Amino acid sequence: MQYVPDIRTIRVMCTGRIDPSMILEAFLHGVDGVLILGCREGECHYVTGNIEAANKIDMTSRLMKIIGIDSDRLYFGHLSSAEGARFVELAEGFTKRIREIGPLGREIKEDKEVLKFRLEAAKAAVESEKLRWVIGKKTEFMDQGNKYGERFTRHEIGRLLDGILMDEISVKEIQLLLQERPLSVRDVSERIDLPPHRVLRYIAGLRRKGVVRLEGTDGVSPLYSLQG
Amino acid sequence: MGKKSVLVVGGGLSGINLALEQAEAGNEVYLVEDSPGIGGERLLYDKDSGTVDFVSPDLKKVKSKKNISIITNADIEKVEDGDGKFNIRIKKRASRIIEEKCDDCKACIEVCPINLWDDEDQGLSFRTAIDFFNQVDSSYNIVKETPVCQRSCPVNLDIRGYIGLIADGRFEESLALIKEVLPFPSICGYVCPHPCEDVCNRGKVDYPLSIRDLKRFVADKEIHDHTKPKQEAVKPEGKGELVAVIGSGPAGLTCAHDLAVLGYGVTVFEALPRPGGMLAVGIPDYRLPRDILEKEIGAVTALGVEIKYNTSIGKDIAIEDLFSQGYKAIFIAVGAHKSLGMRIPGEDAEGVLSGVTFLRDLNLGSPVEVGKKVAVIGGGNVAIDSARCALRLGAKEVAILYRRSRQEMPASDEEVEAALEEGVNVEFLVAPLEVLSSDGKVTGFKCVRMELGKPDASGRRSPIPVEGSEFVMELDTIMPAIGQAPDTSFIERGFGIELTKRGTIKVNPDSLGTNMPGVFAGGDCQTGPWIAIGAIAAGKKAAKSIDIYLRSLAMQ
Amino acid sequence: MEEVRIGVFVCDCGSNIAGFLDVPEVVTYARTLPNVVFAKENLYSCSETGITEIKNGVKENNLTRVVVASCTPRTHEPTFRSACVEADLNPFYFEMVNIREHCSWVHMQDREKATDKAKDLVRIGVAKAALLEAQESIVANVNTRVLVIGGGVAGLTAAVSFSRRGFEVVLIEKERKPGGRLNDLYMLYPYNIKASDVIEQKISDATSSPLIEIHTSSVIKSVKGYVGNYEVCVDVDDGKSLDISCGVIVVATGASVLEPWGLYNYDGQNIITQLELEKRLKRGDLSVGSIVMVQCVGARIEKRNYCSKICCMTAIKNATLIKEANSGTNIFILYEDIQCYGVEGEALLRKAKEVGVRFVNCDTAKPPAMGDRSIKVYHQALGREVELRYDLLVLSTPMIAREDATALSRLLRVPTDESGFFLEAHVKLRPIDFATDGIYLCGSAHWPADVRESISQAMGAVARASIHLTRGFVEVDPIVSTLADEDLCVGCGLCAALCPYGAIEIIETPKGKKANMISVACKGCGVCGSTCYHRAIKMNHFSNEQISAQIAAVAGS
Repeated sequence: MQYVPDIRTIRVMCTGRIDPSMILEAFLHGVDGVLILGCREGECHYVTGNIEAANKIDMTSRLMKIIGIDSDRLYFGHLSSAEGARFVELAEGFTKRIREIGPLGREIKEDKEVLKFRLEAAKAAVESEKLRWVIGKKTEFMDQGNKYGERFTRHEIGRLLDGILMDEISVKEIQLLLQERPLSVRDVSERIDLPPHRVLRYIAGLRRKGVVRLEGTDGVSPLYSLQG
Repeated sequence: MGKKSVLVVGGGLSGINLALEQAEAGNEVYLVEDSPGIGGERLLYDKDSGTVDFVSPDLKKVKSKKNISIITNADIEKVEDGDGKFNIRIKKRASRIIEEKCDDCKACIEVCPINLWDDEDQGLSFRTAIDFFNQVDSSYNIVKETPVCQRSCPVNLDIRGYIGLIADGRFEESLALIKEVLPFPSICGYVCPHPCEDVCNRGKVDYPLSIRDLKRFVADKEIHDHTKPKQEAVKPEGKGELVAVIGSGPAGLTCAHDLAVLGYGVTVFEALPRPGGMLAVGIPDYRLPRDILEKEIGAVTALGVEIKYNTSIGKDIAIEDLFSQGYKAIFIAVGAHKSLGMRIPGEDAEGVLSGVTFLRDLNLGSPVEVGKKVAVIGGGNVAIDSARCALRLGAKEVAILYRRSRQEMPASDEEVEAALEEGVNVEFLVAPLEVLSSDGKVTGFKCVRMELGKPDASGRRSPIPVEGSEFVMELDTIMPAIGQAPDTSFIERGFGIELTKRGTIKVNPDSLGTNMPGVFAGGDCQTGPWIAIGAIAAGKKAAKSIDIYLRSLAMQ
Repeated sequence: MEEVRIGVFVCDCGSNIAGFLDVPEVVTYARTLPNVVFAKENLYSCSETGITEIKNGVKENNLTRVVVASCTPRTHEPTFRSACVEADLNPFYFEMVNIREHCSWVHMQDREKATDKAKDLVRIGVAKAALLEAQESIVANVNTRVLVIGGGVAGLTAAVSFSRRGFEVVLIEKERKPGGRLNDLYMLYPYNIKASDVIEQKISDATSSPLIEIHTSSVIKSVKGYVGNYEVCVDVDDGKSLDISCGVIVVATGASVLEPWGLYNYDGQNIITQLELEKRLKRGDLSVGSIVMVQCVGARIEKRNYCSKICCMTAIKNATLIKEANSGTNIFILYEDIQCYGVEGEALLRKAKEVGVRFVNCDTAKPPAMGDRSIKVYHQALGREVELRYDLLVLSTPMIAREDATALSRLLRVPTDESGFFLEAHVKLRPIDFATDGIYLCGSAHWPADVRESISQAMGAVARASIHLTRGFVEVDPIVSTLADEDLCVGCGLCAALCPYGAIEIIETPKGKKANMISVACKGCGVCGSTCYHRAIKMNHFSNEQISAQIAAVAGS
């Protein structure tokens, strides 16, 4: 029983321990792929740990798609602790796929700056309250329903999640940019390739929360900066 | 001058000042505001200056005044002017927040997954579904709206829910969700004119979702997939009281179904030899396959509902007798089967056959003959059904005469399209003047061309005859299909139920109760001819009212 | 701040590791890593010599952290932790790196790459070791009172067994009297013992025991706490509520029987369930000429896709009893499959056939259809439909989960399966435990069970629960979650909702609502920590900082 020597392991008690920000952190450190291995579905040693992990990993891979990184770089494999052969199969298969995709960043023309910027925004997004709340509530919303007893279907949750991911990543990108120096809506719009009216809406939302403030003007354009 | 009460509409700067002035004058003031908080424009909290005071309505003062009642998140629904006094009805929307428990931490806003355009801000920014109106007022509220499709559905079906389940491939759960409300998913899947699709937001982008066909899909799937009839084990609580339902159309059967589920013993009296009402005798079988109809009605009888056929109320059994036979409540749902006449000369000639009668005879398998040249008068679905059936029976030429234009035609678009496709000739802006006959047999029709004038009370432009445009059509059969009314002759025969001026049964719209205690009415006989899903909604409402009525009887 | 002094011990494992990678090179590399002050090669780290070398290494170099690069932690992590303890080091200052199963054994063909990988793994281990924190194991006392929920045969058996072991028991029964389903039954298969004899004996054993306190017409209202220390509030029959402190809880709430309204014209008169037949047999008022029994009514359909397991035996037993009492009665049993497992079951089936009960095997595709006082069924052997007249039609319906099982499962924070029955921790390895420590399961609450099975499960549950009760305390590994920053916590309850062990509760504090971690009940999966949206929760021994350091070390920095 032999397999490629390209994998480095980090041990956790349960895949439920894995915080989505850890996955993005690994990519920020330059790994080309993250393989997460846990119990078979429905056989979690910690009852529901791998279900929660699956929710988080699914969210992270949706986020990777949004920021232009091949989501095949993240894979959640299931096996029992007695299945050595399956481990080898998963390790070999995953390494092969990563070799096909190539080094991290190839998807976005190996622009290291852009890659780092997007990954940092993504990491900030999964560390912020909204995404964590939604993903934490996912199981309950699908099994028991919300306060009004309405149960969400997988379809609805997926659509909802995609919307929030898109919003959150944009918001975090704007915050990262404003961290450097005050910018106008147009500047932000050009830097992150988002139409000005959407940038304005996000910035207005951030102002309402007291995150962003008006710094001054550049000619007739208002400049925004992060609140102290 | 004594103490007066004053209504101030609008909680902005001037509204608040006005309220304060009126309160100073000693009046009882009601301050009504549409948005969830008072204070006028939504103010941004400016951390730099630490203030929001650039326009400063005196919020504290207005809140502390004892003789000012603040009603936020509310609309004025109705103003009645009478004798120097106004009676005002205000609708207050629920804020869905328990204010005493809220400690203004704003965590809810941070985590709310829903992003909306901020309607309080002219859509300039985002708000989440939960938000406060302004920083000072801190009145939080949750925006929660029923989807438009669900609102448009007379039975308030959870359309978003069942379509979502279909998208997930959870077909059985989807059907179960539909059946929680609607006992006839398959029937509605075939014939419902789907008001939901008319309002579907997707229609603004391209086409509305095919809500009706999706329902038909899950309902049919059950019928086709299961070799075993899958009967749900329903456990009636056995309340025991008997209820009589008159008419086995969609209203009657729905009412019977809901009452049987609640545990009442239900008997349905049907004048015809077949159940279903207009579904069975009005709608042709190419639109609603009879095995579907039978299966879904079978599910109602499987609950223990008994249907007595060929029993006409007022003829075979008197309505008063039902009470003496032990029925504690009666639901009248006899539908609207009486065809309205054209009120033109020559109407009695042989060869004039009303559309409703024609369809009923055809559906009951009675011998029906149509001539070679047929004209149907009217623009509703009955007219279209009659025309298409006449064509199927062998008529060579079938024309529909309608006095307005295609735009005003009440029949569903797809039905009109289908009729045209099959070769029915639709003549718009034509009205009949006289039936021509020889030896008492129809030979033709004298008609006149019309043009559209000003919109009438219904909002449709009323047709005006074009002078000198009269012409004659040669015909063998004439089918008026210009409307139906309920056949209330059984009531007129001495049973004291009040009717409306339109000849429909008069009810309390909240309960569907008639002027006689224990007698309820709904469906086409109460509304005039309408759609099946409307009748189903009436059946559901009646069942609820009858349950309340019988339980209150039991309490006495 | 104390100085971090890491010692790295790299094991040869004879030739298991040293044969396939360059151990001395790994040792040399380890010495270059930050905080590493000592590195050494062991022939066998786990041997007496190896352990001594580790202990001496710690003492001679004032090591504060130990890393052993050897085999899987499953075998020797406890060994090396003890070595640390013997060297006066907290056992959680130890980190194990697996360079055998994850390296030498699986990369035998490529010595160079295997050596590189071993170096990387050691670097990752050292990165974590630098951040390791001391942990003390967690101990809690166990209240030796027991709560049994359900006063049927399983619950009574459990209560009596606990009392015989000397433990106090509180037994909660929803109905007005204890006895459960057996109060309605006539004879019990396989040996035709009177149900009333069995249950009366159990009830008298329970009521006569001074250690057992029985509350009837009582319903559980709330459950708080964790293994060893549960606080349960119960609504008792006189409208009062009762607070019970207990150490363990046994769930023995049984199941109900499906009433098949809407199926086979069921009316409860001439068309009855097997349970109603039992009641009639018990009353002794059964005199009919012909009986038809239909099996699997409302069972093994898509909605209820399980086999209720005990109804075949019940039908066979009842049919045999009736036939033996009056051989003139015609009895047909219509079935798709017969489930009569075990030696006695097979014997009973044979006996039923001998006394003249007739079995008709139905085709699933052609289910029996109702006629007028008759039932029509396609006879597979005859190849045609036969019509069977009946005076009494008996429908064998499945046991179904009680309607209130879901509510109870939420209170206890234990799972139910897709049919609503309570779900055990592991189908084979822990069949009468819940995943939550201190809560056990027996009888039909778990799955349709007959009396024999209910009794054995009850005794098993008592045996399992007594482990905690007899020991008197519970001790758990300190790899648990802790509320690292109370100020960050807003008491939203997300962690409590997701914890599979009920190990987190939300409590009122002077600072508002906060999460309270019940360390004894925590198993350390870490779901709470990776979910908390304010990142207020820390997982001991697998903290965010430690894992981040490892991630950084993977990339070489």
